[in-house]
Amino acid sequence: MEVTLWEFIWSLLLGIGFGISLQKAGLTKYGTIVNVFRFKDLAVIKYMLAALITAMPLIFLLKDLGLITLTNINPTYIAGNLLGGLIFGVGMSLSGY
Amino acid sequence: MDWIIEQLKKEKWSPYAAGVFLGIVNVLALVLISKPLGASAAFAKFTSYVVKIFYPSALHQMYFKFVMPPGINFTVVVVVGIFIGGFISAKMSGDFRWRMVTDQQWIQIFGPSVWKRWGIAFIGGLLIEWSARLAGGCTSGLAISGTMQLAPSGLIFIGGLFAGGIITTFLVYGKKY
Repeated sequence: MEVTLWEFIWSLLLGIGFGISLQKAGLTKYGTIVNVFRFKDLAVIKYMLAALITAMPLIFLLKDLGLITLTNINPTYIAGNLLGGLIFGVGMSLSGY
Repeated sequence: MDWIIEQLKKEKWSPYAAGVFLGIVNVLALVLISKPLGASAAFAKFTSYVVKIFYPSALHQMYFKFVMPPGINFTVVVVVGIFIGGFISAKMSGDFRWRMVTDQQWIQIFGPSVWKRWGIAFIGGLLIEWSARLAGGCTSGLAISGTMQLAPSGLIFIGGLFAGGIITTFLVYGKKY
């Protein structure tokens, strides 16, 4: 185990929160995921953008107050990110996860 | 407390409300464990752990040695939490069922065959995990956790995701699109 006890407890609780929000938004259903690609049900986009616009200002506020540091920012390598995204979309559309 | 239980018993929240909740969870992750939440790395991390037990000579490979050294880290715990959270939420809203084929919509397009559903789900899952490792994250670890820290990679990934998804759905659904 590479986690401390508190890290374990918080990770589990945060994961539970994550799972509840996914289920309540209906993102555990095949139809919800695929219908966003058919422009019939935009729940996925609404969900993602609502999460982003909530988190973004809070994070940069906390960062500027010096309460958190952003250490794990995902590296950018355009070919990998783009190709990964394209194949990810294929998998998401097929399986509906 | 009553209010929380009442909310959990609802079958669905507005996607905006659920999204705001996820945003708060993500900020809390940075505050409490100083790490952005992700999901896909957990599977690679756990695989690495299994490889260590059953096939230790493969650990000398670049990937398992430097990118994903074996171990149980916070992201594995997060994924277990996601599973539990989803289960609690589905149980409380009475939405939980055992099903071999997921959805009415799936049956309309692909027919009721269980093997077809499981086979395509397996291939789709394989593509998802492989491409997530290629891109450096999945919808949660890169698209949400990356973009909320204004990482360009997250936005590029979202663009690719929707392009790939829309084209595939268009081809698969054909006239029913």
